[in-house]
Amino acid sequence: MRKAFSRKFVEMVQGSLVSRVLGFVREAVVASFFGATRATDIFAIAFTIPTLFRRILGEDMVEKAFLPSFRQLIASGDYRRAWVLASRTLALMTLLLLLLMGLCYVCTPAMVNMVNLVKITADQQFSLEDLRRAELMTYYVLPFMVAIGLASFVGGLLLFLDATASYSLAPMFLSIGAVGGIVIFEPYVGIYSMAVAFVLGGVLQFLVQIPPLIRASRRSGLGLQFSLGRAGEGVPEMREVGRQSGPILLQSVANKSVEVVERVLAAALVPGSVAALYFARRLVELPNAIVGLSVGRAGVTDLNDEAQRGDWSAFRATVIRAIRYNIASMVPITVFVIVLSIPMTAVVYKRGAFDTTSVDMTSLAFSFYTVGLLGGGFWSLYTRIYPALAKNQVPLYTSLACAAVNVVLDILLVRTPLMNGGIALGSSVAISLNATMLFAAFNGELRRLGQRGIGWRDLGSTTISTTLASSVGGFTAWVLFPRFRAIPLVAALPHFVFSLADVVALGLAGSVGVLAFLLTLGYWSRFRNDKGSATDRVILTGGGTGGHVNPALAIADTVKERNVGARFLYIGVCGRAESVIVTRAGYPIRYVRASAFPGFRPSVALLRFVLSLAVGILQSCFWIAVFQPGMIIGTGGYASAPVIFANTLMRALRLSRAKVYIHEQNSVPGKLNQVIGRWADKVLLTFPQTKAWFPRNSVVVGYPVRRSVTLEQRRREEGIPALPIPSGRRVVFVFGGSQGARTINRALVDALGYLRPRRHELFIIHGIGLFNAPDYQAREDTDHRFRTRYGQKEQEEIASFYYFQDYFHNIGDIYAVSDLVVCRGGAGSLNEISAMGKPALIMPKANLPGEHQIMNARAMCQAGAAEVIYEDTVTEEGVLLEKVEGKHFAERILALLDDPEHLAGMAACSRAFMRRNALERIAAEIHGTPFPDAPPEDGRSSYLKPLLTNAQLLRLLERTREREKSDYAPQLVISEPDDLEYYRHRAASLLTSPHWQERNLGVKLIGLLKHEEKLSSLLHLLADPTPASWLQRLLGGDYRQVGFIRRNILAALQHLNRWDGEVEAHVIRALADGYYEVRTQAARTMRQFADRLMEREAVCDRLLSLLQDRSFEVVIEASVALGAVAGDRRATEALLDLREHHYWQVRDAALRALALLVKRGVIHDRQWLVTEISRFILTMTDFRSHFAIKESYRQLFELCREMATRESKVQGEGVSRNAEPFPGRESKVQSA
Amino acid sequence: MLYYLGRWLQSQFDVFGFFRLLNYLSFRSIMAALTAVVIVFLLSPRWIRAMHRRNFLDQVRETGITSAFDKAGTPTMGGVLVVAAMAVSLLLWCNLANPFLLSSLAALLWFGGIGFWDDWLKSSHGSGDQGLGEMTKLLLQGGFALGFAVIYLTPASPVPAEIATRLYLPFLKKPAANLGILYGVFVFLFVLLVANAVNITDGLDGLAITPSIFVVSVLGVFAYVMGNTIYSVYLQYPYLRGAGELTVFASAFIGAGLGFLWYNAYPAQIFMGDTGSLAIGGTIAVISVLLKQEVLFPLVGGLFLIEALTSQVQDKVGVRWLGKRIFYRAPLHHSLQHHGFAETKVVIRLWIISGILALLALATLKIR
Repeated sequence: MRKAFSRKFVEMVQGSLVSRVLGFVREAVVASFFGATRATDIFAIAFTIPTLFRRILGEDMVEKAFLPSFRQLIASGDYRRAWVLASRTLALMTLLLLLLMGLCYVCTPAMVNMVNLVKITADQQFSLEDLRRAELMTYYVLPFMVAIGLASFVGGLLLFLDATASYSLAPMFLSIGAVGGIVIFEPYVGIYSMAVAFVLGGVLQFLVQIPPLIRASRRSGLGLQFSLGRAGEGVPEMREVGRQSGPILLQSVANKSVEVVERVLAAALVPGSVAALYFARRLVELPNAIVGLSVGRAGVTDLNDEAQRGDWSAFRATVIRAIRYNIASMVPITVFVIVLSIPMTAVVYKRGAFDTTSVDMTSLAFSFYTVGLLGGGFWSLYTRIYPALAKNQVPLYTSLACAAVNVVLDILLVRTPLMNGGIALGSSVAISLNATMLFAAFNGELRRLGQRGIGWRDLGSTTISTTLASSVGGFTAWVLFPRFRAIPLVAALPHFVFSLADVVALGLAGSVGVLAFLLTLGYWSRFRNDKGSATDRVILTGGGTGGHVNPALAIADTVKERNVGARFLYIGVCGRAESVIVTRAGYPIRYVRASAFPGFRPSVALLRFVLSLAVGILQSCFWIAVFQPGMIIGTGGYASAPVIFANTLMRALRLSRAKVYIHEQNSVPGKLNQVIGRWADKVLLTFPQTKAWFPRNSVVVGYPVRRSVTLEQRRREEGIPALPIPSGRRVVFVFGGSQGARTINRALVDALGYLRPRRHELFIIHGIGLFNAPDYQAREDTDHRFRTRYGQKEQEEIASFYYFQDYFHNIGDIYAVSDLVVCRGGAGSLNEISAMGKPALIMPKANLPGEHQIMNARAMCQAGAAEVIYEDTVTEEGVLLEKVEGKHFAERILALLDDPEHLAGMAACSRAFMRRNALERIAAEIHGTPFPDAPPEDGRSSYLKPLLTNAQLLRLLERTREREKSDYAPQLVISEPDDLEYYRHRAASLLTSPHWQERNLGVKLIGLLKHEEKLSSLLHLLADPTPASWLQRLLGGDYRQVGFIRRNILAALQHLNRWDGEVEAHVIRALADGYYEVRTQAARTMRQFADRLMEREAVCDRLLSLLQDRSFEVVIEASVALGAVAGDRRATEALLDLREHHYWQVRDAALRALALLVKRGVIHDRQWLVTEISRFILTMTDFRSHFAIKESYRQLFELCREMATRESKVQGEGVSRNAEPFPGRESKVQSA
Repeated sequence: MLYYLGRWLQSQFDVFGFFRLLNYLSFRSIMAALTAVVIVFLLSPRWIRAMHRRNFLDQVRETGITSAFDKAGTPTMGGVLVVAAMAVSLLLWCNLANPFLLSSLAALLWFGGIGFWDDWLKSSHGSGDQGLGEMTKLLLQGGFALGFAVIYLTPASPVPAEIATRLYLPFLKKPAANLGILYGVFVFLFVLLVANAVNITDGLDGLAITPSIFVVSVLGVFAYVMGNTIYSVYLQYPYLRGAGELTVFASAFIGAGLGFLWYNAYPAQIFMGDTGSLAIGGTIAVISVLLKQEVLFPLVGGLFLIEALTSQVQDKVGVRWLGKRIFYRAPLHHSLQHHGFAETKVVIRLWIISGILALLALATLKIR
């Protein structure tokens, strides 16, 4: 679920980010068309009412009052009532909105006149003309209220139906509609275009949500049955919705009415003040959103759990962490925004009618709003804390009180020279006051629960360090910005949508400011932390899979044993294996952004990688600065990259003294680890041959197996309490690593049926894995497969010898009780198995960097400790999959179990296989004390010949084929049958790749390796009707299996040299393919198999029609194929018709085909043919150059070589190396 | 040098009054061309033999075209002859303080240098795929393009600031737009595009050099017009003081090019290699920018553009992304060969096309 949640979260953030950016574009368009003038004032005022109700009815009420009841009904399975509730709420809301709209139409004159309620100076008020325009504007804008209210309701439903993408993208259309409306209508209706535009946008937002709603409800199986129900049918939940709405309404009105007051007050100021406030509020929403995110990230979600458990000290700690987070993020933002408010405002808005005056007014309000950011952050934090305490009313009361204070402050401050800045300041003060009150009340609450209140002791150092650092950073940026702006080259930058000069100067000053901020923070923390010893603090990093996380934890445990006072901080990536395992192990964890390195080829993924690396490095800098570690232990995986980069950077700036240790688990390090390893103080290796990558700073230590695994061995006889294994059973433990492996899971479920007859002798323990992504959810998929495959009785029988769990935290126990372990070939699993001395059946994953799983598995296999079983690629229900046949799998398991002596031998070999005492060695390296027995540098785990990569293999095969022509066989290249078998498996597995380049490679390899069993998979791909993406189709692409793949499949068929009815049908279809090279290749294939054709007539017809093909290449091949295939006069006539063809190659091919026909005896009347062919056009536009001197040279050369060979035969020696200019020929001689 | 010597002698001694000939662009142009052609004639046989001796032979990639196979073993790096002949001739006959000339000369040598390095690596590794990496090459070219673009925007630019950033279109009298600093970006991209376009075109005997001669000739005419107060006013071009020196440059190129064609004509005794093609491309790009005729390039150098486009579209869009061939073969000349045209026929037809394009480009002088 975690994964699904994070995906949803990412979708929403991305969606809302797009929406937000477009929202800014919308505001910027408004600003550039109308500036901060009276016109925009009027717009902002007219907009107050609709936005007020939009917030209340659309967002708060739908989310908080309607959806919970709706969700409950759906959960209870009462779909009908749920939809009745939805329809009635919708109907009620529509009615309410329409009523409200009517009411507003009546009241508008009165409401608009309220604008002139306040009088600050005599002449600044709205004139009569302005009032009339405001009235009109309000009339126009009111329908927006209805549209957006309905749109929000539908949006709420979408959110519920899991269509998060559509939900968060819909507001985009509001912006698009609004921008379009303004641009189109402005010339005709002037300022009223704003109203028209927003109504348009609102309707658009409503409409675009309808299709996804229908789709989503159909997909979720809930149906979409809006119906008001029978008259008198009671839906009690309706009352609940109504009851909930009351307080929400009250709170929203309290919050929003302040805005009304603000606007009324501002209306009394200089024209443009209302608009300036409006634009400024929009700007300040961005940092506010960041607060929301950071508060969520800081683990406030845990609060509910902690409150329910009554774990108040943890509750308090979480709140403190969230507050610290808030301070640490908001203070710098506040300072930077205040310092740079003018250029920021200018960058966003300044263009068109939005002139310098507008910028000044807006930035003033902006910076005063910013003052309230910290308070706002606190406020949103506390509004999440109080529901956890089940005290919803406290924030409500303080909000009401502060709304009053706000109004008073506004009225007082607006008369000062601050003007609209005063209004902003008022709201900032009020929200800070609100936060303070909540803070005090919460402290009281804490004391009542027996906890200490939160005070200076908890927050002091964070406050001081952040304030100090922000001041320094802010000051730097403030000083530097005008200087950067004045650099001639920058000043010369034109205003191109953005004021590029401002953007560049802002970016430069901001970056230097942030750097100054980080430096100060670092120095401050160092100063503060110098009291303790730095070596006590350790940062652990690395992750993605358990194979990376567990070693880090194992090392941490060892460090802790030697140094009890050590403090640890784990830095990982949110939502991956570490977030489960580390939390459970009890180490604090912080998350940074990181993503896998996609390779140097320019791509979107590369861009995302660079961005997330940059963000990750900044985040890591922050954590390193705060934690001041003495040591960083990285265990690879991309999660560790940002931390190591950041540390290298900070070490260069003398900001960090941390030593870096990297542990590399695999025999072949990944790209990122190769780079990182160079900067590490020491690279700790599992395999000796990895030394080649880090010759300077590496030491072989082995794999740090978790203590918790090895310590549990004595339990073998006791068994596991939670897992009652009937005595006398042989236990098989099957698992695919921490994340699980689809192949293993599916194969096991299939195998269970075959193992069932032996259920009284066996017991299977299955670790399914935590993997949970859109394309594969380990647990659900396994359950589903199990339920659909077996009937009730079978299920019960299987349950008597089968036990499963997502993840075993007590894996040591499980190993201990097992007689056989089935797993992937990851270094982690194999080392653990070896440490426990268990025999293994390994199902390695192919196509990984350096083939490390295969290498590991084969090494263990060679040592006699394991057997290997490769995945097969098969077509199942029209989809290509990697799988292991359940029957085969069951047989392998049973074969091993039935041979106890062999198994015992394997166990003994396994125990001797891996390097021991890795943890002690690591501890010795870290603490600088030599380990008693220096590790032998040879080891014996891995000394196999490295395998060829797919590309190397292909090149080798192709070259051999070119040389040997018809004598070619894959065995010429790959002499080991084991290797050949593996390469064939690997080639087949490429067919399931999502990248066509890899599938294409797979197709070519299958052909050249003569992997005949995969013929049906190839045919399946050839006939795959899945279209390519629309973008590719737009540019001429056709199917997912691109032209090259289809062409190469046909070529592979020629290599495989097997022909039957099915193949023929496919090739006949390929003759009509949309891509010319496929047709060409198909014709060529027909020619090769001309003797074995079954439907000769059909083939002939097709080939004849290909003679009219658009592509001359096709015509050529079709003609020649006709020569080989055809049996009647039609072909002869058609070929003769080509005599005047434009391309000489076609005429040439026709003549060759005719010759074939003559040879085959199809044409009897040779006399007639001679007269016919005399009418061929025989001119041509090409000729072959013939370099006579090269000919003479070659003759001499070959003569010499022949003599040499003869001599060497006599002498019994190899060929002398005189053949430099023709190396290809030389090698042929040698290999022959 | 001769230019300076002559001027000095003329100013010191009445006897050498006839050296005022050196003040005439036309005279210096003709002399530069002749010098260059003579140098190429003198050097080529020795150079070709030297290349053979050092085994700097062309390593043809396996494109599947038989005639290419047959030519394997032809020496390469003939571009060195072109560059050297031009450099010597220019040193003799040009005003070396002229910023237009200096920019063009810098481009010639820099891009020639990149190409030379590439050729050197390829030949010494004995493989067409082991030259400079695509990235390194682009970075080196980009370095020059960036430097050029930056200098172009500063007051040190040979082109006056008021017209430097303006975009002139063929057939239009007035500049179409003022791009400001974006013009720098445009120049940067333009230089990269053109330099590589010639490189791609250089695939058949004599295919790159003749169209290059056409292009440079047209640009030379433009240089003559724009550097001349009278003609520039008459034809309503902005007057570029000192641009006339590029006429001498152009004719030196024509001379060197013709000399090279002598040996490069089918069947070639020497190829120009990247040394030549990059040098020529870089120079054409820089001259076009200096003369404000960037937008004319798609017309006058249309052949290069088509060759570059077909090659890029085929490779980047078709083969790498869509997984199919968009053209039978790319670039254009390979496609034509694939259609069954002999190399000589392809080359001569493409010459004709580029000649027609050059004429059209010349027509824009008057048709505006």
